[in-house]
Amino acid sequence: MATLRLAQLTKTFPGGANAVDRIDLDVADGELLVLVGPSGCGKSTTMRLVAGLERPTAGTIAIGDRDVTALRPQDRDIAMVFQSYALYPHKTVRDNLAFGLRMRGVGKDDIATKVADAARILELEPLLDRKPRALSGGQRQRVALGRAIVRSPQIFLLDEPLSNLDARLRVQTRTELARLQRRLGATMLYVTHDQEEAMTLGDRVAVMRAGKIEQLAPPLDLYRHPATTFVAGFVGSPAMNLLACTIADGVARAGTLAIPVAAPPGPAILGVRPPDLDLVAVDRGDTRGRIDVIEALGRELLCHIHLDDATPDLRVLAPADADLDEGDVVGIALRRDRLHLFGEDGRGVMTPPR
Amino acid sequence: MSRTGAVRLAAAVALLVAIALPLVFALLASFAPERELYRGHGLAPSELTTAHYRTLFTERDFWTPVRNSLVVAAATTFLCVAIASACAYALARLRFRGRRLVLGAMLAVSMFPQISIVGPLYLLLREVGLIDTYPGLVLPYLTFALPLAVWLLVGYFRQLPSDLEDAAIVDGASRLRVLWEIVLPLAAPGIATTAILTFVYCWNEFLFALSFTTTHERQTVPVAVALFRGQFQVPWGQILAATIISTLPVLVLVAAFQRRILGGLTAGSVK
Repeated sequence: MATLRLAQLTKTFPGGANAVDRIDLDVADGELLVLVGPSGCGKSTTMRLVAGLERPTAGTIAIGDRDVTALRPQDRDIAMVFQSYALYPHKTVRDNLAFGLRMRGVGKDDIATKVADAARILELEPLLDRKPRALSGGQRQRVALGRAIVRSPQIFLLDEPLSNLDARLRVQTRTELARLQRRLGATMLYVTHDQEEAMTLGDRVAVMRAGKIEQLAPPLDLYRHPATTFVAGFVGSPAMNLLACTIADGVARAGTLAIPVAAPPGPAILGVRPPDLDLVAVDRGDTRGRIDVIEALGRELLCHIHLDDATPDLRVLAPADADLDEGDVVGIALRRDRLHLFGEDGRGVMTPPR
Repeated sequence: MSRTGAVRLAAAVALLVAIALPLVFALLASFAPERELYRGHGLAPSELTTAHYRTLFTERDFWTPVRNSLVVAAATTFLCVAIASACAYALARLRFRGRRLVLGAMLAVSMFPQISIVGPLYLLLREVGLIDTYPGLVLPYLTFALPLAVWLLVGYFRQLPSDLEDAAIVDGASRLRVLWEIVLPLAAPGIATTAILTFVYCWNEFLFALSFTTTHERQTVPVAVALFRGQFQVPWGQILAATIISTLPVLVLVAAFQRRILGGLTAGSVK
């Protein structure tokens, strides 16, 4: 296992756009670092650069203390799990697992031992002589994972490895993957577009947008102290409410909402997460609105509340047993110690105290 | 069955009849006595005879042209598929300057009418002493077969999921290993199709074979059959028998490879 260091890594595709734009990133030995962002943010390109499947336009990649920027993928000692799994369809599971070892000239007996070990860890033993087309989605995913761990590489790269599984299997496999990663002490770079996956799996999470890392932090720090409105809106579900407001005389105003804040005057963006809002009697609270839609999430109700035509609807979480109906007019109170404030440029000005 | 279904079926049957009728006629006529061929008795001969086939192999030494055709077609097909696979893989997957130009130029070259290069090729082959030899046919055939094969294979290779090749490369395989271990097995249907087309092309080729061979020892089937005509008579029975024999290898090939061509080999690899 080893560390991974990206310095000023840049990839410009023909046509102009910077898919990856001067990224600096350090992954510690044994860390699982997640790259998360919407599609087109450059996370997959970053991973392909690390794998060596794309050549960087500028910048360097180092694994351990070895600069691998100019090395071919074959010489980097990395393993990659593809979103599509990319299992060799004409080879059995056993041959799929053995392929990487065979290509690296490992001896026959050694291969047999390592394949057997990997198969045991991933419970693939009964499937070894099958072809991929005779496997279920979950089994294919495990073979793809097995093909990576059998080689004990320096770095694991996982490109949306769970996105082809159905929801239940995805959550289950996520847990197994986290367990496996700790057990192997593996250094992993993990790409996903799913913020929940990123939050639950990552030791640290890098939120990417337009080829840049918007914020890099442990999951809870991202949630509690988002550096930008983009991170604030991307991390956490249901998403944070973001309201354009104007601050004057220590009061932030957005439509009918007025709330005191300690910030310099001028235009700003007020952020407050759905669980940090409380529904109260109409004449109390910081503002009022009409419940437009109620979605029952199970443990809670997600209410979409219409304030006025100029302000986007607020998302508020209420207890499941609350006596609410669509069309009700309610008061809304903001928890003062849970407010986020961002400047007009989307950069954070104030987050809740640590 | 719906009305459009019925119309389609009728059209398919009509097409099949149009294509198959001459073949059926040739088959029947090849077993008919020579005298009946000129009488116009309709399709069915009054008696069947294998005389034409016997004459073919006893008096005409038809084995020699069959052997020549098989050797030339097989050698061309083998070389063509081997070379075209490597070329097509490079053109399909590697990024290099002038890739489009190479593809375009290859297509353009294959568009020349054969007759326009027979003369120069003859002089060239005579100069290097390849007239009336197997290489003297295989090499010119390659010039025509290769561009088509490369184009076909580029199409097949591009259809393969590139994740598979990326996975093999990350697994440590060189480009040639990827081609050999991953791409070729998966492109087997495409390879088979290309091979059959090449083989059939060489098997049927007439102009080069006529121009570049001079003796019976190296003549291929189409040339031999064309030379059956004597000064005073055309032995139609033997010609038809030879035609039927020359159809056999192609039939066998297509029958043998049909399953592969239809096979969905990549099922289960991605998703």
